[in-house]
Amino acid sequence: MFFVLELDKEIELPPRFFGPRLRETLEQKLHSEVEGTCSGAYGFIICVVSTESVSKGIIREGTGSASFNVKYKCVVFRPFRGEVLDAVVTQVNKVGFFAEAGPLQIFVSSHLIPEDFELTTADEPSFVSADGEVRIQLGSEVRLRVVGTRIDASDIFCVGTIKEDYLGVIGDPQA
Amino acid sequence: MPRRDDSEDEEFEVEEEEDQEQEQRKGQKRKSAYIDDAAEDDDEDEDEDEEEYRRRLKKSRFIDDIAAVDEEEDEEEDEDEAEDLIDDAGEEIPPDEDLPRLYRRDAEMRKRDEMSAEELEEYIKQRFEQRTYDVGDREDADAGVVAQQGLLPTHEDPKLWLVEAKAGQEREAVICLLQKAVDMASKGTPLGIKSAFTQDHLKGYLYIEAYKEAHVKEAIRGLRVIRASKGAKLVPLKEMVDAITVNMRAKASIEPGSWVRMRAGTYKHDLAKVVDVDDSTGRATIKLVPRLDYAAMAQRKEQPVRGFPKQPAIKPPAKAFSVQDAKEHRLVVEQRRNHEGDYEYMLNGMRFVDGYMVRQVATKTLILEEAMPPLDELQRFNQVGQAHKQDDHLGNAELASLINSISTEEEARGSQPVVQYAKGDKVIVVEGDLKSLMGKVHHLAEDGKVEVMPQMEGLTEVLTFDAAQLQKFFQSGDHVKVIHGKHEGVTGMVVRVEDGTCYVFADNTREEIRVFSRDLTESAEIGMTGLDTFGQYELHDLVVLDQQTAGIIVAVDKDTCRVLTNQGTPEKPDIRLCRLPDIKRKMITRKAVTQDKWMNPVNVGDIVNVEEGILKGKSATVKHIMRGSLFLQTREIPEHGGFVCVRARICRVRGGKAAPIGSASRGMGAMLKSPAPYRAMQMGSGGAPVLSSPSRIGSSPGFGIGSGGFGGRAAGGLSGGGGGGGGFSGRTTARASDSLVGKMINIAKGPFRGYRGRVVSATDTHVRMELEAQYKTVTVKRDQLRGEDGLTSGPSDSRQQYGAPHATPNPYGSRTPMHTGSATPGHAWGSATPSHPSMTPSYGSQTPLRDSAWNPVAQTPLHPSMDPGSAATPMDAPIPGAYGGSSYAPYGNAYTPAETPAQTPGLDIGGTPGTPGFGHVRTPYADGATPVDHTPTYSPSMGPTPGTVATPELGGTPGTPGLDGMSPGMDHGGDHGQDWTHWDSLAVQLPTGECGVVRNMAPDGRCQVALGSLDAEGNLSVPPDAQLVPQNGSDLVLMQPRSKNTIKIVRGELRGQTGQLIGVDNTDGIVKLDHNLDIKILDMSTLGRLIAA
Repeated sequence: MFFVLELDKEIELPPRFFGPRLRETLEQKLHSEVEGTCSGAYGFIICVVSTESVSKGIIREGTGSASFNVKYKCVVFRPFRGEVLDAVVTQVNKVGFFAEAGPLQIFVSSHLIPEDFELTTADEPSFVSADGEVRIQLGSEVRLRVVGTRIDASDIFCVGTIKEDYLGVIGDPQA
Repeated sequence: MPRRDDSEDEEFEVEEEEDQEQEQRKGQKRKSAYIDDAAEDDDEDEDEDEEEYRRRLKKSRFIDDIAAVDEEEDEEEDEDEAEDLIDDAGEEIPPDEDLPRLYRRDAEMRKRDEMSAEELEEYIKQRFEQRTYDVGDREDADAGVVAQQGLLPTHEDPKLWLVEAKAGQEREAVICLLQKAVDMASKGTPLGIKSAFTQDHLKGYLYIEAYKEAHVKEAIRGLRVIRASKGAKLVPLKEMVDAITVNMRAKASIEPGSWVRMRAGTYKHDLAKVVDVDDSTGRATIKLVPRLDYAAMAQRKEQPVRGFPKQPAIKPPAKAFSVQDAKEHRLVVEQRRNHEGDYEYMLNGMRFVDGYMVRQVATKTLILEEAMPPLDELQRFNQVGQAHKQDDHLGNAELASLINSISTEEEARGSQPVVQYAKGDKVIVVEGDLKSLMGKVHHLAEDGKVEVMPQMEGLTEVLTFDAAQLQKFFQSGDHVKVIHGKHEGVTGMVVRVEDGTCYVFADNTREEIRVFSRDLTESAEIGMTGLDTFGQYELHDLVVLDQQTAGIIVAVDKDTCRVLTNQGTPEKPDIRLCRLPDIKRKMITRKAVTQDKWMNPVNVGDIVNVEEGILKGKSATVKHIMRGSLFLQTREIPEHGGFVCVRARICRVRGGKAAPIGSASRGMGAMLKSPAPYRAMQMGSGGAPVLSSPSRIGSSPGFGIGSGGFGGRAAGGLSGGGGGGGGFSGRTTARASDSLVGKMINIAKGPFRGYRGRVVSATDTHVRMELEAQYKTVTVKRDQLRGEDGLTSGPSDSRQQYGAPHATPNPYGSRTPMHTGSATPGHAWGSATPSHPSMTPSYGSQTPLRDSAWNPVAQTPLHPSMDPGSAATPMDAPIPGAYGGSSYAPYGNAYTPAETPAQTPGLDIGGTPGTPGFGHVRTPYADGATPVDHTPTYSPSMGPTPGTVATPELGGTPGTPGLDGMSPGMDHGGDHGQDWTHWDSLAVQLPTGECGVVRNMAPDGRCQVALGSLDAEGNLSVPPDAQLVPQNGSDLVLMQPRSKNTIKIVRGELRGQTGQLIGVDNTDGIVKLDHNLDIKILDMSTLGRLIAA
């Protein structure tokens, strides 16, 4: 699920940036330091929407750098158990397949794939349904339900299932 | 409790009838058991042994059974526990007169043994019908807590009295009471007691239920086994329930299906499985893997061994019983079918079923295996049965099926080993009224009971369950940790739950494992506790194995660990199995920085895209940096925990920028080898902004700011490696610590002169050393150090090399040699190339780097450039690629003028400086640096290194003898300096970034280029009507061919020849020539990609 959150971050800036473009530099640095990271508490920080406020810088003893407390609004993405997501298959192997929903990696075990799907390893590994109509392969778009999340300090990993109604392949790999 | 009376009475009747039947069959040999017994008991003294013996012979079978066995067992225990453990061993040889009776009993027992399940069931039903009915009745009343509480004893109910009995004869006492009660009832003077019972764990006591103490006294009066004199003690009302409760501990006894070990004998410590238990006799039927010595048995056949023989010196190996083997030794095997239709074999009185030996033993000779036995033993045990069943043709059943069989068998037998619950475990009730109630473990009681807080609306009180009534409960998605068994310590996520087992997707190995749910516990932690440390190292640590090799620990086993080293490639990872002593030390690389293909600094934690090799297009996180190697972790590869080791120069930092001017798919190397050195310069200078791009500021402040390097260069002469100055400080530091830390170094100057020590940390100017002679860590200036044992510190090394020779009259000598090199052209061409001065700084800082860069461990001989080996491996040394970028660029610049050699008088010797063949631009430094002293030793292998071409510049300075034509390489250089003749039809890249094919190349380098386009694969396609653009050859960069490309050799002896590139090994290409199909190894810089017209 996506949220817009207001978070804050201490940013340290070396003195050579102290000048007219300080704020700009700060924002740049904020973007580069924050976007794309993942915190266990909030999830993946997708993008910074706006910088709300910047505190006065405090010069650090010894280095001359100044640290600023920047409050910013950002879009975060955090998966929840039970959430249905669309993801793209990134890897298929005998134990199941991995899919990515943006920055989030999801593993769908073969146990959580409907029984009529079978793994074929001809040319590229893929799960093919009994009638051969549906194929889960690299690049397939699948709709899955998150059944479990493992949230570390800096990463989120999910286990998903497609063994439910209305879940499964929703698109073939894009050519 | 009064309600039990009826049932017991009825039971008595049943038994009475049975006994009477027996009596009839016996033909009234003796008088009635009851009367006899009761009468005797009444007037007999307790301690008359002789009397007792006589009585035992005559006694009713009903009591005889128990009493005799009990006593015998006691004796056995006292005498020798290790001996004679089999059931029948203890039995006395009965006197002749009693034989028929005993035989009959035996036969009866055997008959009961052989009864089929149905018959047995029928028998039991018959016998206990009344009671089961009664129990059923009670269960009805049990519904609901209130009803249950109603069952608790009150003051109106009979009381419970504790009576002392002879130790070990409590059961006998109860039976005596029973007989007495029946007897007296039949006489019309019933005893006033209601019931009597004993608890196995309570030795020497029994309980009697009665309203009055007088009734109890009356009942126990005269019974030999009860100490009537001690009287009866009243059990307080509150304790009555506890008195009758069967203790859980006591319950955890040997049961059918439990695993046991033998206490002594041949089978000592052998695993056995309990088939049946007879609590009353304390005997169990067990199944074990026989240890038979057929040969020995054959020899001693005439005197059959009874029971377990004494433990032989050598245990025969445990092996399934095989009829063939027995027959080979001419042993007589009796074969028969048992009631289940399976064959049974009898050999020497031993019974074998399914390859197991089945025998009856006293339970005292068994040790109960509390937990599940180890898997391997289980396997061995189960294999016997399986092998036998499948007649050996499917003997080696797969492990999986084995485990399957174990688990299913376990479940079938209901003998779950002790499950360890922990507070907070989610459990589900699997037995009893509250079946399928879910809850959380709230508390673990001492007696093995589990208090559970139910998770159901309306239930707010903690309920207590037996551990056996519960099962751990998991759902897919739960994060769990394995707490027992082979995978102990592994954490992961449950993906599927199947009765009793869970499939767990392990966090670290990314594999699916199957685990019994009882071995799991819910856990938030991640990792493999217990399995993620290896001595002082941890999983995923970067460790040093030897001086060239470092690697990352990707898996930890008990005594070994697997290390993915930097010696491998993604295609062929080098995994080494290491023991603790193999690991030298751990490396901390948090601050290490290297450069990617586009000279963007790469830090630990950055995400990079791999641009070459099998990982092309994949992205990964940098976990460690080891010189020029990156240890990446990516989820796109399943092996080795997703770790892979790649060269930094085939990666690009995500967010970092590629070269600004076109050349999308070009390698740095190609750039450097380009015939247009100044292009490289442009790129280099263009590269600067890249390096200081906002996103990277934080990681390497000041990096790439050229001017910062000026001072650095000056310093370069002095402090060598430290010369990076501001511009490259980040790198230099990394390098310095890389190369110095851990080295043994002598101190040459200063207060610690003469000391020797190990460097613990190093900065540009100082190092901290741990002295060998004193327990002391001191800070020493770098220039006070001296290299030692071939281990040279980078800085002192470079100082020696560069400093010394140039302390000459040479005006430039006092400065760094590179200065000389760069300054000279500066002189020669004045300000024609304004960019010179600004570029030179980079030199200074660069030179020392080269030195260490080339020495993977800063250990190579003093002068790398002199060493053919190092000269031959210029580009592929771990770091150079990374450092090279920025250092070369300016160099190229320095040489720019050389493109117009006519203007440069000094160039007449080689005439080659600006050659297109500048593959190893680095070398010039070295040569330039030490022309005088080292020239004589130039080896031929230096030849191809166009580096020598640098020397001409110095050649211009007087006093450089022998430079000209020193090496064959010079010739090369001279030869292909402006040799554009073979460039036709080669794929090139224009300064604009466009690609095309050279057409109409004139000898002076002017040509036309047909513009084409690169497809995704990097293949160049040129339409026939391509636009022709006039170009100067020196502006063009040859596109480096790839494997299987058709190529043309543009330089060297073979120039002009065409062939196919078979493979690429760093800077060398393996080429199959078209004209004679010879395979040649040529420098990649001499190859161009031939595009057919």
